[in-house]
Amino acid sequence: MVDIASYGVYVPRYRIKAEEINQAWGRSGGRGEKAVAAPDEDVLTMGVKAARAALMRASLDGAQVEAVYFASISSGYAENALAAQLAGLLGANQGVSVADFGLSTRSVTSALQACTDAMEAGRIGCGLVIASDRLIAKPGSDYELSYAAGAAALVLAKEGFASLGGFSAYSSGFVGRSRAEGQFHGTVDERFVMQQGFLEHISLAIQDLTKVMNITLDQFGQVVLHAPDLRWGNRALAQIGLDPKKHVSTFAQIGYAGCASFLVDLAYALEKLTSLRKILAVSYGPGGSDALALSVEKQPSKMHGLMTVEEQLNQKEHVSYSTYLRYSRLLGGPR
Amino acid sequence: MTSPLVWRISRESARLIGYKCTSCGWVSFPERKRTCKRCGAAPAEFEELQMKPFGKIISFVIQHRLPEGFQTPLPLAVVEFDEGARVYGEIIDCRPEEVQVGLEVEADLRVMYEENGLDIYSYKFKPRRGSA
Repeated sequence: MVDIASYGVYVPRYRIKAEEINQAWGRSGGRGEKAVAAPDEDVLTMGVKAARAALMRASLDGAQVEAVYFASISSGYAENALAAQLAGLLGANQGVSVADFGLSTRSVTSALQACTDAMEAGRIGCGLVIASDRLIAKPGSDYELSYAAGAAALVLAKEGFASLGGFSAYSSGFVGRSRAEGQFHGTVDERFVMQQGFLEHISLAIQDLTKVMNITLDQFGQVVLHAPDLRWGNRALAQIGLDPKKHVSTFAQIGYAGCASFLVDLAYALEKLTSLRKILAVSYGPGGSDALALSVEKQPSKMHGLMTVEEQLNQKEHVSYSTYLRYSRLLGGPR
Repeated sequence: MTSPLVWRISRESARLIGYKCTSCGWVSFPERKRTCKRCGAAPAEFEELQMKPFGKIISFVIQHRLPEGFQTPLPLAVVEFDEGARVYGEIIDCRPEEVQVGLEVEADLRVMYEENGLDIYSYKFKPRRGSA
């Protein structure tokens, strides 16, 4: 049995409102806001903070962790293994199993699955899965309204407060959003990608999960959907027949932070939990979707001195569009 | 070429590990000294100490004129960790006018600079608002 023993989240302090971005480009309106990383924050600095929070909540020392698996689509490096650097910063032993996952936001659940597999095989007893992203969109593009920064981590152990009950994958050759090294996302037909990519892939992954586990959708008390667009998530809930009240999402508050968004929302769902129940969590990225079922058996521990996800969502400072551009480092300048 | 000095962050700096003099309790960070700066023990015996990321500002200066590559105004401060070690570092995540002696701060791992496309990390200090 593989359990979630702890979670940790890091949301950068700065926010920009969608309205502020629209105003800069002569457009009106705009819903929600997104988290903006400071110019001296990157996927590693954010990832290490989420991981340290997760270790602290579990009262664990870095040396007790036997695997550090890291997922990101925005490290900015073509070659530079950050999982090993994270393991070093966290104080893991040098024999720790490390792996970097990327190229699709779905890689967050690939990392989670790899860690689960290693535990089920008896190779490790405790692992850390970290996801961190700092997505930068082309100024003026639609993606600029949502591409954000953040990080989250899970500690997997033999005994925790929630068990990972089932895992289903659906893969295809469908690409959707893609990006060449060092470039912005190109414009794609978003409606087509939502319909043929997102909706189809997550529906089939969920369908397989419910079949394998012999479970119905109404048995899930909370739902986490890894949607890169707020409208996609809402559309999916309606199409699949999931109660919108069960949907846990930080999208309107912090936007879309790639791989990290999946774990941030999952951590938020665990934190908001008022009774013991099942959680459905579905990831999505170019290539496919993974659906997993969690059974929460105990309330996660509340840790004194550790900020909750809710507190991090509320503790913020809004920045102007010009400050946002400077922080996103699109204009260069000092860190 | 990446210089050997910065290709990796030291274990002490990465994890805030200090060295406490067994004679007088003075804490050295991040170097393990041969002699104690406070009691003068030579050679001094030091024990490893896992420090917490918290401290307060002892003294500071706001830099307004710096070479290219630095953001100004830049608050720089001498920070004393709760364990006693003193370091010099940048104050971030606040306006320069908020910086004052006695302000409680938290060490935060950040990118210091970039060398040949590689981010180089170290700790900066932000006002303590809770630990995340």
